[in-house]
Order: sequence, then C-alpha cells, then structure tokens
Amino acid sequence: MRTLPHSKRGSVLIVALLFAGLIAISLTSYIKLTIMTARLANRSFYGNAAENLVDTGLEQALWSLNNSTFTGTAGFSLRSGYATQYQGTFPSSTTYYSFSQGVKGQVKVWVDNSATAPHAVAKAIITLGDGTTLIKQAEVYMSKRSYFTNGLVAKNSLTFTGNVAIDSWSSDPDANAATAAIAYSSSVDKDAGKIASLSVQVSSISVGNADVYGYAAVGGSSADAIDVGATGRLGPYGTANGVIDPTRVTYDFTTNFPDVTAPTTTPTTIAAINSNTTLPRAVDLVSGKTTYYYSVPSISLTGGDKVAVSAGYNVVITVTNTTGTTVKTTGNAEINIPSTSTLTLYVAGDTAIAGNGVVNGTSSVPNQPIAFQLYGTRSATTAASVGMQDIAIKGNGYLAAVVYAPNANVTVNGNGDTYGAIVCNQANMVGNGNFHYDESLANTLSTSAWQVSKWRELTTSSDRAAYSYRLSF
Amino acid sequence: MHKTASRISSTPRTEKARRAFTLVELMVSMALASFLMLGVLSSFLMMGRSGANAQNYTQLEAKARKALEYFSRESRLAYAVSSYGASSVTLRIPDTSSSRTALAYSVTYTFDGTAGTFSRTGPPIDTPSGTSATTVLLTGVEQITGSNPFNYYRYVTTGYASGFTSNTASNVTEIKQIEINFILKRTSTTVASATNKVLSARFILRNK
Repeated sequence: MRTLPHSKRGSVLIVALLFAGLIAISLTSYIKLTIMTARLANRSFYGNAAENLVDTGLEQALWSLNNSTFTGTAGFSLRSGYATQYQGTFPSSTTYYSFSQGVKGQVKVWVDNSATAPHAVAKAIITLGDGTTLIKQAEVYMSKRSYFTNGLVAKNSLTFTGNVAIDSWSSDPDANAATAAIAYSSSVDKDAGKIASLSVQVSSISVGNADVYGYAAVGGSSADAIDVGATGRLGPYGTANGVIDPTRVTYDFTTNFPDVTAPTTTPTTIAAINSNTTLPRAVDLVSGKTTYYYSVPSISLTGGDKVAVSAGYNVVITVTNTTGTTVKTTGNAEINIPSTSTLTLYVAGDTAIAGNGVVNGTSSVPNQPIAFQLYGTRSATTAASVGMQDIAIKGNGYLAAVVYAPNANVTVNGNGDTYGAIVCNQANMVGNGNFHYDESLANTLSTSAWQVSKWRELTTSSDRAAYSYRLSF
Repeated sequence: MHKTASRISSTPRTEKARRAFTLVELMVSMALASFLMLGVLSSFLMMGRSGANAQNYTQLEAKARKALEYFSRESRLAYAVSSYGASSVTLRIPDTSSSRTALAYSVTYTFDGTAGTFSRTGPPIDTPSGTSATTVLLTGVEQITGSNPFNYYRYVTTGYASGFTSNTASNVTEIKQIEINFILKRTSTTVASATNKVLSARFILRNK
C-alpha cells in the first residue's frame, strides 16, 4: 500500500477540519440570526399585547370616572396623601393576566380626578418566558361628552326652506363663564357651521337655497344624501352657487342620541301658568340662592301674557303633563329672559312657542344661547308608541336657544336669525333667518358622561420619568 | 541474509514510489476529488446563500419594525391630517399638554417609488422641539402592483367587519385610519435571488 510522505500526512484531515469549521461558523451565524429574528418577532407580538394591556388599564380608569366609583370592586385605592388621586394594579397586585407560553402581564394605573380634565396614566408590564420584560405606557385626558358638537343635528331629515345662511362663532372662546360673552357679529363669524343627519336616506340634508358655510355630515354614503339647490352652497366662504365642497362633507356620521330626563333636584310645585308670572316667585326667594326649580303641569300664554325670569336668577322648569301641547304661547305672549338670567325648560309634551316667542336678552342684543335651554324629555320608547314630540319655536326678532330633543320634530319659525344649537329627530328651518352655531356649546354644555379627549403613548424617558413616582407602587 | 533480502525486496518499492501517477490514476482521483469538492462547495454556497438571505431578512425585519414603529406611534397620536395622497401623508402631532389639538409639530411620511425609499420628514421623534429633517427609514421599497402605498379609511358604524373597501375616506376630515402597503426588498450579492417582505398595516388615528 502506498503511503503519503510524513510532511503531507494529516493534510486531508486539516482541510476537512477547516471546512467543518467554516460550516460550523456559518451554521452558528445562521442559527443566531434566526434566533434574533424569532426574538424580534416575539417581542413585537407581545409589544402589541402590552399596548392592549395599557388600554385595559385606561378603560378601568374611564369606567371608574363614569361610575364615580374608584375604590372597592373598582380596584383602585386612594393614593396616600392625596384626596383625589387613585392608584390600582390590574388584575391585582398579586395576580397576572396570563398569555401563552408562560408570558404574563400586569397594568398599573394612576388617576387624577381633581381637575376639570381628569388624567390617567397606565403602565403595562409584560414578563416574557425568559424573564425579560416589556413595558408600555400611555396617558389619557378625559372630558365630558357634549350634546352640541354640531350646530344642527337630526336623527332623520334636516331641511332648510328659505334663503338662509349657516355659519358659526364662539360666544365663550376662553371657556370661562366669568369673562364677558362674545356676541355674534361679522367680525367674529366663521365658516364652521356644522350640520349633520344620521339618516342614510336620499336628501337627508336638504340645503335648498341655503348657504352652508361650514361642514355637513350624513350617515349614508350616497352623494345624494345632501341636496343643494341652484343658489345654495356648502363649503367655506367663497364657495360658488350650487357647489358642495367635497372637503367639507363626510359620509360617516354617527352619534348617540341618549334620552334626557328632568333634574332630580326636588322642585317647587306650582299651578299651571296661564297668566303673567315672574319667576322665581317672591315667596320662594331665599337670600343668596340664585337657582330655583319649579314643577308645573303646563304653560299656556295668550294675549300679552308674559313669563319672565327675574334678573340675576336661574330658573329650571319641569313641565309635568306629557300629552297634548303642554307649552304654548300665542298672540303677543312671550317668555322673557333678561341678560343676567337663564331659563331651562324640560318638556315631554308638544311645545308651540309663537307670538312674541322667546325673548332671550334684550330686543336687539341676544343673550348667549345657553341662557335658554329647552330639553324634550319624551323617551325613545314612548316616542315609538305615541309618536314624536312636536316642538315649534320662534323668537322675536331673533331666537337664541339651545334645544336638545332627540325624540322630537323641531320647527324653527321666523325671519330673524337663530343662535345656538339644535339636536332633534327631524328639523325644519322655516323662514329667511340665518342660523349661527355657537361653538362654545361643545365645551360648556356637557352631559355627565366622560370620554377620552386625548390619548398619548409615553415613549421617551422624560415622558416616563414624569410619572414614574406616581406609578411606583 | 535477512539484511540482504531486505535490501533486495525494498529496492523495487522505492523505485515504484518514485514513479509518477498513471493517467488513469490521475483521472480517477481528480474525478473523485471534483465530486467531493463539488459537494462541499455546493453545501458551502448554499449555506452562504442562506446565511446572506437570513442576514438580509433579519436586517429587513429590524428596519421594517423600526419604520412601522415610527409610523404607528405618530399616526396613533395624530389629531389631524394636513395633507394626504397616494404616496405621502402629513400628520399633525399634539404636544404634551391636556389639549388634544395643541400642535407640537408636523411630520410627513413619503414613499418614493423611483428612489425606492420610505422616509420621514420632521423633528427627531424623541425631540419634538428639534430641527426638522428628512430621514430615510427604508431603502429598497417597491410599490405593490395595484395598490397605493398609502390608503385612507373613514369610520362607519357598520361595515368594518364585512368590507373595508367601502370605507375609503375622501377628505382629510373623514380620515380615521391610514394603511401602508409596499414591498421591501433586499438582493443578495452572492446570488440572483432576493429577500422580499410585504409591509401592510393599518393604524387608527386615536386623537382624530
């Protein structure tokens, strides 16, 4: 047998080892790359889970705010040394949300319920199977929902008859009732009047020859949902006749129309109002008290009768009769609200305010619309069985009012301008008066329900550091 | 005697060992060596190719995740869309106050099919007060045939589950969701094949 010289012995083995080494290095690199990719994918997957967990914590805070319950079964406890701050760990400080493959998670939530804009911060911690952790944090600010984020809203059709214009202004731009209100004028008007209909029918919003300087929203996706006449328009200032600016229209409108009920404050019950009446009555006056609640079966004024609110007082009237026309003014009768007063009416029956109508302010200078609020309290259930409430309302020269009547067909009459906002089942704007939406109503007249007004993920170290001591429990 | 015999018997082996390989021996050994080397090289090349692809894919994954993270973070936070199109979108990002619409900065994401880039123009994502600049987040991007890089959707109470296409937004006011679609590609230098990754994700503008 032939053998290799001494000097060449083992060279094949060395070459084989070199190849094996190279293959081993390649395989190791390949495996490491694969592991790294798998780890990235795994962390990304559970990163999404952490986001959901953060939202779970923030939902807990929102639920507690809306139910005014933080402690007990709500899972929060009062933060030591603070009267309005709460903290909680969910599902609990000793238990975890279970994910697959040994992964578990907890979320810590801190809530500050002291301000007009409650604030909550949540920190989700996901512990992976290998013991490493993923942390996501986010904060939310809450605000009260408003019935009046749009100027004119109808569940069904919204119809304009007449050559009117719709625009907007804000009577309280700094959202501070203590500062002077801003009256509507050409120097403060804006092309941000907002009209909306939930209807999906053709011509849900019939603009006719009206000039809508602002926005429109409908529930249906058809372009026929909004009908504009030859001399009407919908868009910003400068929009040509017959034109709908597509950037000012949305076809995705949706909203809830919750029923509204009369306040629970025990009212002073008085007889039906059929003649001149000043409220609050002299016999009811209490020193230092400015808000008075009354319960009355009906209001019916004729001739020159007048229901007047005394200057400097706020009057809330609940009309108890629920059928027939329960609030009615004819002839020269009127409901008078001086510049320093407010009147709020809760009515379940039909309403026909004609004659001189509602004088909210002086004869020439309107009050803020919020000074006269009319709530239709017929419920959706009742309306389904006995029909919609009918509300016909007019002003004297102008109408400054806020109307929320989700189960009423509302007709606004008169040739004077209307200031404020209206939410109803069906709206008919009759006459040649313009409509000016008061944007401040979206902030100043809210429901009791809280909503998330701002959401922000805390990603930077400085953002997280700002809340670290509040979440260190 | 034993020594002589040994010398006699060893002489022919030494001479034979000094002789060259025959042609047949050479051809057989070369053929065997070639087969062996071919097998080894094929395996090695295959591993090299796989390794290069794996490296590309890992790099793709990392870069794609980072780009998506940037885009998702800012689109979720945006309270308004300033402008939008098939290949770019500009978002308005709120500041750290309680106000939803207090502008901190604007940021634009752009898909450039010609240059093959996906870029972000705005201040550094972690320093909103910083100077605006354009950063290329991804290279080697291609448009998916028949699909815009950016698509926009509105919110409809019914229809999300059954048909997204009917919810296409037609103006900035309606936009509630933004979807990005494109192909991210890396070509390995050692081989003709490439590594592709299709990016398709949709984000809700939570503050809008």
